[in-house]
Amino acid sequence: MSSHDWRAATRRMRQVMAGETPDRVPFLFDLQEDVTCRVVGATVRELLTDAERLAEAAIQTAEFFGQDSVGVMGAYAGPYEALAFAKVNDKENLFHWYDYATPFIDTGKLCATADDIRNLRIPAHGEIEPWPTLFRAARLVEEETGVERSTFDPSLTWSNIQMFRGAQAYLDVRREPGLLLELCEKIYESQMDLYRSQCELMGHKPTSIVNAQYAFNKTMLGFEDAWKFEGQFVVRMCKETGLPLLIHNCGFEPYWEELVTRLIEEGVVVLAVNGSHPLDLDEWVRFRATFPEIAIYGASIFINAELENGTPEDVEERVRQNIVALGPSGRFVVTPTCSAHWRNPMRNLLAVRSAVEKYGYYPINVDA
Amino acid sequence: MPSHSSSARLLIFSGFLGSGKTTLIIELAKQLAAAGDSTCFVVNEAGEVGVDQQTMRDLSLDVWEITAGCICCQLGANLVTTLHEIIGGLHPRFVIIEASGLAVPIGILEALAHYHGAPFAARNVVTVVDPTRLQVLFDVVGPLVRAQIAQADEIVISKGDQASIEEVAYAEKMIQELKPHTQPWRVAATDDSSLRPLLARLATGIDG
Repeated sequence: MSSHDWRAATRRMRQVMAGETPDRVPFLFDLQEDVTCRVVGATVRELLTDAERLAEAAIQTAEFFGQDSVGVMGAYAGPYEALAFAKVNDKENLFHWYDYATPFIDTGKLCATADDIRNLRIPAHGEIEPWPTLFRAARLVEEETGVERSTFDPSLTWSNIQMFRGAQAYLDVRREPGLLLELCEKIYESQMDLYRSQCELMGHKPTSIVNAQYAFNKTMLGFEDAWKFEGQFVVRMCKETGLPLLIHNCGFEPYWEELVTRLIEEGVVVLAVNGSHPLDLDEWVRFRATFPEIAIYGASIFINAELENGTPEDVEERVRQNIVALGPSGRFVVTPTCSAHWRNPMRNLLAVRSAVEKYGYYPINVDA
Repeated sequence: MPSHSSSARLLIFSGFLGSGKTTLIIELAKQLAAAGDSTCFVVNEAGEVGVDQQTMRDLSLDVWEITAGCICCQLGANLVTTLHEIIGGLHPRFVIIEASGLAVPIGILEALAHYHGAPFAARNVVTVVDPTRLQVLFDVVGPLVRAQIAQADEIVISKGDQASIEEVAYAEKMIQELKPHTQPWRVAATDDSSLRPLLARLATGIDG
């Protein structure tokens, strides 16, 4: 049985989402595969082929960092969604495994041609590995910790488009928009299959969607193009599933305000935002003032800044600044963004929790 | 951290996906190898680069892969630590970084602010522009492409053997608007004579 106080952790997260004041600011990490592998001493493939071991690794890692949430490595529609597509389309050779790093698919080769898109087969996520293993592990984590997996983590749509279609997708936006929308529809269909598989294999419905809004970045697509090829599909999924949304956007210039405003206008309940940018905390304070009901997971704690190149003291100071700026008004979770990775020194990763313990208890001491 | 001067020259290759960065780097690598210059090549392993890394190694490039699971964040992840290891351990004459096609150079330069190893002898951004797609890319990903051009020290117009006169003229006009007084290099991978002056410039160093 776990010694970590998962009940207290769960209460903290629920209170924050409900707009209540918890005992302290909750904290969680988004971790790349290599970090989990480093903590538990196993390779990516060893974990992804053994649900019991994967579940144990998830819990062990979350407890090692003292997190208030536990996530199963890989259980989001990232590279393993690409793997599922590669498998059912007989292109598994495009996928590259590493023992201690995130695997990837060769960009733009899965859907290199229009025929590739038209003939693209959708994976059955309840059968194509590693998805059944990932969901079995998630269920084991629930049983062990009592923490119900509350989120569904799709990838609508641009990060999948980017992986499948590559640079050609940017030309398609103007030259072949119909073809690109055809690919978007297939990705949507696939993500809904993933959703149904999660519900079935986990035995319950999630309570929110966490989507990576990759297109909504000012150095990526224009807002209306991003809406056409990504945003409208997010709205559709929220309506079809009846679930609220947590937006993950780790781009360098996200359209935070425009996107949240448009989603709300379209009837989507936006529960929370999660991103590392802007790095200027004042902009997050302004966001909070504009959208006081929306929780902030972050905020400007960037995994490639102090966490990679600074000292533990630098990390603690950055976390302290975030807590002081956003903690007092509530609805705030300390979450370095995007994913903590191999090159983040362990002492810096551990400094995040240390700062939360020092500065995160309510009432927040803003003079700290 | 060491503070002695490094003789390494840092070349950061920027440019949208498929603009011809890798082709240019391979040609440069051949030239550097022929001159006996030790070169390290830093590349993302997120699936963008379409060339077998063994090809790079055959050209005497010491290839360093920087891992990053997230295609949004791959820009600066691991870069600084990797540079510390390269400069501190290998003392190469050249370090070539192939940036993600979705990266703006300033992001890499900001990440380099955390680099505290031996200073580079020169540090330059080379942006490769594909004239055959530039007009549509300005329309679709304008801020990104504009930033890649505006933040460059040297600009290369690639695919001279595929682009029309109008496409090249358009590229030159836009470059002049974004980076006045810049003389872009016009190259074609199939035409050695167009590459030679650029490669000589890159190989001997830019001190701008």
